[in-house]
Amino acid sequence: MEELELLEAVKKGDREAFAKIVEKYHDRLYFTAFGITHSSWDALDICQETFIKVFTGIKRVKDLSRFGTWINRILVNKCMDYYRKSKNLVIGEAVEKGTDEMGFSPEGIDLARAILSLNKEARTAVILRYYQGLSIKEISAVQGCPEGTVKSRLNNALKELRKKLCKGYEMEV
Amino acid sequence: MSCRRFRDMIEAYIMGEISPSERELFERHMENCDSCMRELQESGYVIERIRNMEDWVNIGKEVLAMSKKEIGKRAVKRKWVPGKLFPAMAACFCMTVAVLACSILAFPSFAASIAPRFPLVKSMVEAREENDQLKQQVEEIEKENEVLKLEIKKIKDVEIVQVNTSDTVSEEERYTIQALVIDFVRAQYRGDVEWIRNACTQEFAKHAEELVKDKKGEVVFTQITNVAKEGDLYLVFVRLNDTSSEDDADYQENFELVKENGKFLVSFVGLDA
Repeated sequence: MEELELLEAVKKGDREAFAKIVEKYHDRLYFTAFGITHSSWDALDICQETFIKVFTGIKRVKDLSRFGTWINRILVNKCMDYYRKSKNLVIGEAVEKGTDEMGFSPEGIDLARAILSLNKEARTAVILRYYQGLSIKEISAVQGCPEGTVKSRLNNALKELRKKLCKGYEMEV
Repeated sequence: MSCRRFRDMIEAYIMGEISPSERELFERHMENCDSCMRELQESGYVIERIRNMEDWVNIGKEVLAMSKKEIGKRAVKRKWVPGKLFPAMAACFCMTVAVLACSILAFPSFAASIAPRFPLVKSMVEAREENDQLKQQVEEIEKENEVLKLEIKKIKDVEIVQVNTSDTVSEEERYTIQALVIDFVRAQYRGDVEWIRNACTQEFAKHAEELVKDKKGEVVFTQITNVAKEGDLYLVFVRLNDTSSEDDADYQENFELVKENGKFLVSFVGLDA
């Protein structure tokens, strides 16, 4: 069954179709949330909340062809809510202390720290662009900002990440 | 095209978003420019690491599978509409109860008119009626107290509380009548039938023997009313205690007298508890 057909079925309350959509998007959304929040348990919560909102709100979606953008927007909004609620928490503390057993592997710590050094908007744009492979236009729709802003966020972020991750990196030219 | 222009294209090139013609120009420049090539490789390295982020994260497949299962369960719960409505229904119910309770407490009359059989309303109405009755009784007692002015009076050798209920008789007549009544009671306890007979009207004198008291205790006068006059009758009540051990030791005698030829005579004596 094509995705659009599945989504139409979900709209009618078909739980099997919903399970297929969950199967298709779940891991991708989980890692996106994890890349933004750097908290494995919170990422699981955010991911679950996102799907519940999709299930209850899909009836109101008119254009299902933009489902990918819509679900990512919900996820990103949930991540931003997480930041608001976690005002007093040091985001990524578990990464630094290595207390998050499900977090980045020791080999990925440098990547985690580099991503964490970006502000949350730039971090979100980076994850959506390079992990999920969304277009600038799609990210602009997800983040609710002009495409120029997304491009500029990505340029600056890439520069920062290069500085942090490519120190001592030898090109094999 | 300058290096800057090609560097701006690096991200789009890696993401596969430039046209074939631009791609050819871009690749040619990279082959001839080491610094641009370095930036391309570094950017490619960063983007590749993020793209493969899953490889750098420790999370078991079973955790992800569990999460998917949990979503399914929660979605089923969401479908159950009554469950969703329950908090709202509970809130409405609590609000109604609260409003009703406040109305009953604040406006019992209103509550009595809309829900007279409601147990709480019923008991409140009863309590209010009881309260009204008590209020009325208190008012009556207060009125009586205003009328009843008590004073200690010495009548012959007796000091007695006089209850002033009327002022229709002159003080001289009042004293005469009260003294007569006290002597009358003493005669009753003495068993002096003759004295009693002389103090009564001719008609009532026939009952003189019946008026004698068998009790032998000492009589203590506790209260006497001042004398009221109704028509030809003079009324006076005397309260006494004969100090006997009987239950009716403390009682009241109600006297009615008439004035015949300037002399007061007892025309009737009745007992009161």
